[in-house]
Amino acid sequence: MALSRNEIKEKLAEIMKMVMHDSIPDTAELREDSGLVTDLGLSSVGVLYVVIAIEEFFGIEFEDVGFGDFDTIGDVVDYIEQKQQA
Amino acid sequence: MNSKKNSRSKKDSPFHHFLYDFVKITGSIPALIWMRPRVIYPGEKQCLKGGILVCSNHCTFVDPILLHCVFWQRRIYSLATKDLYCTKLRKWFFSRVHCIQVDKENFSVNSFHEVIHRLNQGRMVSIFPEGEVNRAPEELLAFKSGAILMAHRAKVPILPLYIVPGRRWYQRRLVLIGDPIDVRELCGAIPTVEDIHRAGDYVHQMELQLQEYYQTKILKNKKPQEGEQ
Repeated sequence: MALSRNEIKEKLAEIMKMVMHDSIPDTAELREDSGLVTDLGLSSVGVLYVVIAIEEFFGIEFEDVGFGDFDTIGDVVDYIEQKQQA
Repeated sequence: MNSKKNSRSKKDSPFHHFLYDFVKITGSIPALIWMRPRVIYPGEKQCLKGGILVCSNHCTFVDPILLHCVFWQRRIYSLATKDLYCTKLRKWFFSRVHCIQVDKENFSVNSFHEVIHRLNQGRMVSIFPEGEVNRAPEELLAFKSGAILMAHRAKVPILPLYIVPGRRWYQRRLVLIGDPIDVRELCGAIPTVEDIHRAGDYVHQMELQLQEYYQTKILKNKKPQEGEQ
């Protein structure tokens, strides 16, 4: 069953917490316009790690995308939504 | 967690290794005569079976060929930068000699999956974590941590390898192989990004130790050759 946008964001916050542990700002502060690199301080490897974790959590597979294709949390949520509908 | 679909679950064609094997067999004789690689194990000599990720320093563009000579008994998948795939012929060739295309500027998730797939198949994959040919090879560049993530996801060890930079193109090539590093033991089953970077630093440290071993134990005992300092 496809998750709603809010549910996706909640799950994403969980993933971010798992991946970044203490170095992440409060998950409640995760906004759609939060930059993965600029605001959350993720490195390129960090973004790749988030993508891999998302694949496992959501049971989807990212195709033909690179870590540079996602600038903000909103971009990631959009992509997951799109994949769920496909 | 849900089970993941895998687009790479399809089998390789029966001719998957054909060009690779052909190039390796025909190219190995001149390459061995040219490079005459000498392998040194500062620790225990390793019996390298199953999936393993070889992490090496990168001094010259012929390093991938050298690795094929060093591990002549195994088929190696190498990561190759996207720039090498600039013509149709090159694209055809590199994709058939077990190169995995990577875009250094925008690392693709597909490349990552391909590496994991090959490691899970029990293959050897070589990677140069410095990310480029080091023009001043006496000083190692910082390592990118992507290799750690790959080894962690595939649950395979990392094999640190140090290629001694040659001063002359015809010089015998020396390679030092360290002990395999268990990444999962190093950073746990569910690491944070910080753990991954720390493990990357550790692998870099192992590489520096191999370099130091060469400088203190081998180079010191070697008679200076003509033209060498």
